[in-house]
Amino acid sequence: MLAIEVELLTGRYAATAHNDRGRAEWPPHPARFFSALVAGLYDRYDMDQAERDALLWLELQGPPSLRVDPQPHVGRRQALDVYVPVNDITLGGDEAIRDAEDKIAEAKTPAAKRKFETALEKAKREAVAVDIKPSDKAVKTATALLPERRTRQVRTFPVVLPETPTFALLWSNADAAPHRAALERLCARVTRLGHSSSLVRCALADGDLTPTLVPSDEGEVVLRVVGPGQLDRLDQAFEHHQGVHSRVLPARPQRYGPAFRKATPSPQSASVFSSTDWVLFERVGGSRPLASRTTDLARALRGGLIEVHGNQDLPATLSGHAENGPTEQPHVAFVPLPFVGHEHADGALMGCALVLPRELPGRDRELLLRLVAKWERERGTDRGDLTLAGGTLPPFRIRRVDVSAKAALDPMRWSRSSARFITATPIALDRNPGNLRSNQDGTARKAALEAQKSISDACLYVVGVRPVSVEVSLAPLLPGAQHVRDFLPWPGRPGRTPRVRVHADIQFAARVRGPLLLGAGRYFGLGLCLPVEDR
Amino acid sequence: MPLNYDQLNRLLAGDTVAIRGTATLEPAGGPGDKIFPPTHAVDDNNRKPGAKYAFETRRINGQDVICVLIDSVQSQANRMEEALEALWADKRIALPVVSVDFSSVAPEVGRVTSLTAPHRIADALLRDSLLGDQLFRLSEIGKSFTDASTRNATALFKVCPTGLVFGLWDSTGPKGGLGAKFQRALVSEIVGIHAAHGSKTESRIDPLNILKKAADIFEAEGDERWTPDIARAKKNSIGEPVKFGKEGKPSEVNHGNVTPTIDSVAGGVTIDEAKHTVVLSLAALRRLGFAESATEARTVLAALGLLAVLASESRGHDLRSRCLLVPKKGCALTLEAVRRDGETTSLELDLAAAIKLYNDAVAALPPGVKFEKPAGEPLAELTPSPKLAELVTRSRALAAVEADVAEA
Repeated sequence: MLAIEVELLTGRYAATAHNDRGRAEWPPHPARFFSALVAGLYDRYDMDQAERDALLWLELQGPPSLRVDPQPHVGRRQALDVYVPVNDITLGGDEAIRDAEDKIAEAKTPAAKRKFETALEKAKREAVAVDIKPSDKAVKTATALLPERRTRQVRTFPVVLPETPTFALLWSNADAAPHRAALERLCARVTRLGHSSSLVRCALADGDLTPTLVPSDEGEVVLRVVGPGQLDRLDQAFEHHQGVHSRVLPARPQRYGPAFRKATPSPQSASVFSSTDWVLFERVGGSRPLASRTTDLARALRGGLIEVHGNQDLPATLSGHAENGPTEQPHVAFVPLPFVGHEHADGALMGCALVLPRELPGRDRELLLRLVAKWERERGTDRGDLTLAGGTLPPFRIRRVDVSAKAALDPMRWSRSSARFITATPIALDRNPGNLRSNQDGTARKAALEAQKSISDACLYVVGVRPVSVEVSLAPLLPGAQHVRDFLPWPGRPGRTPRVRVHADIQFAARVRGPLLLGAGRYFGLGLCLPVEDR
Repeated sequence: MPLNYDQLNRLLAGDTVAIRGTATLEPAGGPGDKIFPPTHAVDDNNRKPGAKYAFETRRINGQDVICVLIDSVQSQANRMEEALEALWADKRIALPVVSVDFSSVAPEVGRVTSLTAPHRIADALLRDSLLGDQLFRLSEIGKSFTDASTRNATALFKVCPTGLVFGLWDSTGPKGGLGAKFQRALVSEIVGIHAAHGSKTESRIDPLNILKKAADIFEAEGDERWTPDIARAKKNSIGEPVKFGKEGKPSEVNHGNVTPTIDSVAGGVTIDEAKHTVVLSLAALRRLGFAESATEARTVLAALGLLAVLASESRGHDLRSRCLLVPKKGCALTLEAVRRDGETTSLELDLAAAIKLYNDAVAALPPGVKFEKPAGEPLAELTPSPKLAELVTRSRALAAVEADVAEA
């Protein structure tokens, strides 16, 4: 058992939430704490190898449990704007002089040297001599230099005030014996967490501490944690930002829930698709298509990967093609993610994900991740932006993210277990059920029943159980979702019959773990269902 | 027994993480009296009562309690630096101070030092001033701390030790964003407990009872500035008399009544008491590396931090207009040492003992890091460059003219 205790010496924690600059983060994210340990590692010119080894070991221990005040027990300060004086106002004299001196040092010929020496004399004079006719800008600069009149820039300092000023990170199954001494030394060098005014005391704790917040797939809180390779990632990132430029903390998301929640029985049935193993891309620019363009976007995503892969054959689990046609096993799904289900949802696609099958062989998974990395390297901009385009789809720019602030891009939103699911994008039925729009009641009714049966079969195929009831509809059943007629025909290829699509409200007898992707177009964004509360 | 030099050395050498001080204060007018916290900017749309103050909810004894920020970390740091400057100017402590005197150019600005300039020794004002005939950052002293870092803070210690206690970022110096960056080791904050917002009123009764319609006011030539006599008014390009301000009302020249208004957006607050918390992180000081005499340097910094706290405390908490706080009876500032395991031991230290502690620590500095100048004498006296002086004079002349035009 490894327990690290942190005391907020000033009683407050000032750290900005990673996805909302106006809000303070609580509980403290374990990834942030790991970064504080890393900062301590590099305190001296000569790094201690034992301390580095201790951090490399800690990376492998998985996400910690936390002993921390829950949200209702935490006070907050209003994040109002504060104006702080700037320091980048200057008449600029010393820069010109330094430049001139550098040029003299680099001068190759005596003539050049003399030229630069004259320039230096000029720069020195101009830096201090009175300006007979100063520009307005110069006058304004001089005024703004005076302390009382200094220009100010807005900053916010969000702060939380927990009831208990201490919290702890706990790794219950870790055997820290060989690394204790090194970890002690590193903890002693964690002097702040978050903003520099959040001074802390940090030490290894001896006693048995019980956690209040534990990693849990059902949990509602998402915290950033670290995984293997974090120290390397931080080292590499530092090369770029040098502790000065803006940067994003590399991290992976982990759901946490209360430690004492009554254990809900694990759902017996789960989707063939993994609920957490997703590669997420967030929309960062370009067009804002609605969910009706989902298949176009999915095809563009798949196309992008295949194009960068070249001509070698992808395994069936990735391409969906075996030697004799489509493969039977579940393969990677290309799923654009729309913003639906909220009061103000507009159905726009917020990004997309590669949803991996639950039982994807490790080798194929490796291959896919390397392919994504290759795509980013070869087709991405400096910031890692990729563009999806194709057919009639206007360019849609995305960037891979570990954790997104957007609700629609949270895998748990689509994967949490529930007994009821409603379609965000319509299900493309395997068989034509008949004329759902028929004026003759009998025909429409028969078609509806056929459609329900088809969907029931699809559920059996994807999650292993049949639902107790299915309601079908051509009109959308979720706020933000669109009518089936807005969607382009699927598969939309010459010679292939377009499928009938319907929305559905599906009720199971017991909870089922998502994500629920149903129907013929499930690998291309159709049939994406949102778990909702029971009736 | 007050904390002495040897004891402080032992605290730094051992496993004491921080020295924390707490005090309970109340308004000088007694509990329940109204005080005025610092205001923050709000949208004109958000005129809820008390919107300009930084309220917060704290959990105290299991209950949600409304509190309000009365003095921020940054503001407290400024006050502590001012208190240190006062002690130094009084020749009671030796401290490297770089100062620039603007009295001849802008008397209201007077002397600005590395203790009072917004960004300490890295401030733009010092950068644009001269040491002798060189711009400050090109002089020996100005160049010496350019490469200071947490791994080797010696150069900064010798020219601006307060930068190592209160934090410093030389972000606009020769190395730009990669310049010397040091986090603060001292944090102090005052928060009011059980805060309820109030209202304040504003009005003026004119002793001369001049009515709004009494006369039209026009601009006049030269020193007269304004006149009600249309014959003496300044004329514009087409011969019309120019009204003073927007509409030529007597109020534009500060005469007449002002209608009473009630302001509840920034109308002050009542509090039960205020809590002052200050923390000096010894662990942060331990993280600073020095080329030589690290132990002695860190002891000086710790003593400087403690001195700053007590010096500011002794000046009282007259934070702003209508915001004077005094310690509650029996609740003056008490200090405790916080150990690695969370245990605390109380410490005794008053201003006199803190001054002695600091002076002892400074005296013990070996030659390589000694403070060169005696108490009260600046390490470097800068002068505004002629260019800067001229510009400031011009801008003050402009400001003087603008100030005469009152707001409608």
